[in-house]
Amino acid sequence: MSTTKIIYGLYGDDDDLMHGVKAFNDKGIKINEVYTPFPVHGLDKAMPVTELQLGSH
Amino acid sequence: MSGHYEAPIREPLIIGHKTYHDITEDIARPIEERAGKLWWASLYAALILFVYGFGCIAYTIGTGIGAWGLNRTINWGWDITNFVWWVGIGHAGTLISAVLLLFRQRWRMSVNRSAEAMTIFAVCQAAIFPVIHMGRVWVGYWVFPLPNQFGTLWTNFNSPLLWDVFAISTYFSVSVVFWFMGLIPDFAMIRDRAKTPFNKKIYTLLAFGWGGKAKHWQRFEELSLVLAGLATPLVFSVHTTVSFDFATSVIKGWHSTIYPPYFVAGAIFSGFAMVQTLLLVARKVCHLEDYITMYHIEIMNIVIVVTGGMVTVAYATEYFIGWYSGSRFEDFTYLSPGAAVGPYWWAFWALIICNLVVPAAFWFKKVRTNIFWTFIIALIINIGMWFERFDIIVINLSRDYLPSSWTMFKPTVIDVGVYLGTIGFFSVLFLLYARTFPVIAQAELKSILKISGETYKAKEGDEHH
Repeated sequence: MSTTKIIYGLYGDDDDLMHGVKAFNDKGIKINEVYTPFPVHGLDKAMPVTELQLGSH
Repeated sequence: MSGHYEAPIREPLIIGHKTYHDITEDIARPIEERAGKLWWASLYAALILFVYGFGCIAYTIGTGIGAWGLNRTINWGWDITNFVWWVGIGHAGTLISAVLLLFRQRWRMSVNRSAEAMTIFAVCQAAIFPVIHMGRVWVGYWVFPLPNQFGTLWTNFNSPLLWDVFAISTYFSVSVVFWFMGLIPDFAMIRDRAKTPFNKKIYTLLAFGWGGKAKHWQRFEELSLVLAGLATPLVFSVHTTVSFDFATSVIKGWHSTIYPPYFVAGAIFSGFAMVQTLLLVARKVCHLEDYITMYHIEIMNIVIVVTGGMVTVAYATEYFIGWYSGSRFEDFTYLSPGAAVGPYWWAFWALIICNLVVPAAFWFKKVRTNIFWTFIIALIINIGMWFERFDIIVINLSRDYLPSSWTMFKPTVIDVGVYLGTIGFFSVLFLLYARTFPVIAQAELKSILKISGETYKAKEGDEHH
């Protein structure tokens, strides 16, 4: 039996989202993906998203 | 607070107590609602001009450019005047979208989408004139340096007219890519709200599978920066190259070293006047007063007064040199004591009044924060900048080096028709755009709501007191 747990979070505000991302990071929970309707400042650093490298995917 | 701190003393960029959802609703409304009577009336009027103009273009192509008012002395007339006028108008869009992005000017977010649309539509109009001026448009591809078997036919790399081909095609392609890339997340928003299958299909295609992942946004912002870097030199290079069409020639009045900076300043000057003309109408019709605020209008008027000042200095320099050189030929140039009292005195004074005297009213805060006067003055600048190009071309050519060939230019019905046709074409494109595209970069705007929104700024102010 797998022990992997998946958590889905739904946030109504970008500040709450950023607090959530920090909390997950502090607990060592890997964040797979975040979907937002507009760019959230600092989210790419907090997750973190892999840096853009032209030539790779 | 996420994002950057902004001083409470700065004016809010989004007025009213908006939530993120309010912004979505406000931007999507013009697309989702049915068009009003005013829109249809404007579209029909624009279509009539458009069809008439294209009739005139067809007549020109069928008959030859003898259908225009050109003569042996004045071999460039309305065609090149209109070309330079339209290219110049485009410059404000690129300045707003590229230069102001690099300078992190947040006010650009409410106006960049429409300004870029204006750029692209204006460049389309501009391109028509040199193409039909070729006469034999079906061999228009000869301007490109293609491998060919025509023997002696080679593009002339010494000619600024060829540089224009490269400058303008680069400008057009970079502007389109930049504009479209910015539109992708907003198309996705429209797609996700679309109710009819047809709309869903169209906006799905346009949105390029946008999903709003954190990685998408990171790439989006990175690419915006790269494209802004690419587009910034174009703001300066394109109109510099257009000015070379004149400045590298040996025609008195054209052969002037100050043309490149003077043309660029003039282009931005006229471009912002056109942005004002369009946005003052669009904000009213689409109810976007909370996003395109008085602050936006005022700051654009300040750009107008600054670039207008540069143009004034250039005019003064040209006038002074025309007099100081003591050359008889210089006394016939478009900015000279001779031009002020010569047969084209009316064109000379139209230029001075529309571009120097009237825009100076924007030095007064009362005027530049008044919507009615902003609209009127912007219209006058549009006219004045048309006269600038008319004066440069027609006044300078009308009195050449041989007094026996001195003559005047009389535009024909076809000349006028082609010009009105491009205004119609431009209006058709802009009206269709305003109904089908998100006219404000809503995703970007949402990212500054908590920094520059009125509600949030008020809260911030309270915390500090």
